[in-house]
Amino acid sequence: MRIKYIFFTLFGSFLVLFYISFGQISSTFIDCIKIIYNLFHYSYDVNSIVERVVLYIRIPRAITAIICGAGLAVSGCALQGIFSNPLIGPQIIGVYSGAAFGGALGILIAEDSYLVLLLAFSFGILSMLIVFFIARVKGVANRLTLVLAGIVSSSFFLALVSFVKFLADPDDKLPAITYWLMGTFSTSSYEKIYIVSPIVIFSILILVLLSFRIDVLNLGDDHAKSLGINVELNRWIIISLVTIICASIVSIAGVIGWVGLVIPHIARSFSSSNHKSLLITCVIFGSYYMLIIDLMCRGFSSMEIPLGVVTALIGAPFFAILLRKRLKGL
Amino acid sequence: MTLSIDNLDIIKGSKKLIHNFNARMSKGTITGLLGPNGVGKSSFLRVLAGLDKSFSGNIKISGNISFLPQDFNLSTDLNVLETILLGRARYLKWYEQPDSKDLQIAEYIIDKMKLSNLKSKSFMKLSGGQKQLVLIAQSLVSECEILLLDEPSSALDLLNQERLFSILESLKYENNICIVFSTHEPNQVLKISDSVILLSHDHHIYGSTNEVMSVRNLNKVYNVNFEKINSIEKTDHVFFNHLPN
Repeated sequence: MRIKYIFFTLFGSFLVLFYISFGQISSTFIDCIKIIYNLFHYSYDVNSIVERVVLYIRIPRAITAIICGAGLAVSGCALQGIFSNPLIGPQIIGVYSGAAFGGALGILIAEDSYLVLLLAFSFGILSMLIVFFIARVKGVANRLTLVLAGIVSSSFFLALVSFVKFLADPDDKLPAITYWLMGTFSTSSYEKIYIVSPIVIFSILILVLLSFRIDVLNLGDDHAKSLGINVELNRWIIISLVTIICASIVSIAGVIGWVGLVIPHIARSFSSSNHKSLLITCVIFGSYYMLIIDLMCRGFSSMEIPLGVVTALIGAPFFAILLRKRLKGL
Repeated sequence: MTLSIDNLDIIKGSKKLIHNFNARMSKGTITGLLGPNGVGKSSFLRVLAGLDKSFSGNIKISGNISFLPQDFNLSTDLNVLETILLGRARYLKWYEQPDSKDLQIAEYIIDKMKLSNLKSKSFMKLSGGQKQLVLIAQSLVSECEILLLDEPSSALDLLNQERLFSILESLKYENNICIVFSTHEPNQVLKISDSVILLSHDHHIYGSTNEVMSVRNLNKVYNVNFEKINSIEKTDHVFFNHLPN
């Protein structure tokens, strides 16, 4: 167990160093270590261009990738837990589409990154509230109606996204909206991190604290009720936290699909099955996965490939294999 | 009184399953629930468990209630110990994980139910009978005073049925639990129940096992011919056999 953690820590440190030293302006591991050390105690001279690129472009980008990967993986894992369905991801509750519309609308109106952030977050939350009102009948929402309400809300906001694209100027706004919708860390900044990271980290922490409740909800509604748990309340709290995480992530990085679906499955092979260790493993694997994916996006060609494209290219076949495996197991 | 039911009507759609049912069940008793398919045995247990609101009348429950459905379609990846520990959920605050005290309670029940050898096994890899026992252990860990079981023996072979019912009997005496279970097998009811609820499509009979479990009542409810056989070895051991119509 201890060897596993040492390995993950070493691998993580290597990955972060590789991430911040990799790019068109070349820098070595040593340069990067010096730059980070200088933050605490100025002792080394480093090329100022390299220092600026590492400090103001690559490090915020790495932090954004880590936050997004961890948040999306934890969200997927929590949802799979409370719906007792390993084939579910954060897109199922409609938050992606709501946030996508908000972001697209923000770009259409002003292309101010803070307006995009605010609208994406607000519409993400709004889409969850719509799901809440559609799914709750006589004060109760079962798991199936929740998923169906998610599809309704999702379809509605996707139609609105299409409408925003239709209205957008094809030379200027439309490419910006399309690129943003495919997910990118290229607009990362410390300011955005200061706004979003406390929200995401706090929500992840609460979800980890709620992990025993997720284990109980995983047994199914009736079973959880008979163990004395308020199923409705606990489920909505967890869905709200997931919504907050996903809306925050979409607001800084656009729509990045599949991470919340794929990572919990990989985490299950390395962790024990209770949600406390699963969620913690998801934080680690999600952040590493996102760093690797972004490295691929930056490294494959001189032009940056959108994140959503790569996550889908990896996620879709993975999901197909998983589905086949599951069907064979039935 | 642990469980008192007054003027209970259970309505499903336009169909009245149970009409004007009254019962008193106390700690340390076992009540068997018998009746053909579709008369509302599962609905009755779900209403008692508070999972189904389609009823009128008064149900007073003192103590924690635990319900094991017939088809517990669990897909949990947890191991047996972790699954049993979930029974402590009602005693833990939202942010808490089971501590050493909870573990001690779980270990005690595991020992008592002779499940120690399964402790670290995955719940999903257990047989139907083992799963049933683990879920009963989970109910006990939740310190329930009333245990409702919907056809607990339906997936079990004869040996495991024997084991299950001897465990239920010991729970009744040692843990002073009020147990209500449904079944299709009159002899199981006869063997361990103190009282019986016989449900049919148009009426119900409730009373002590000796009173209710008669050939006449069973014939009426099931619409098949039963005969009563006295065991050769033990004169007090009576069981029913049903004959072709």
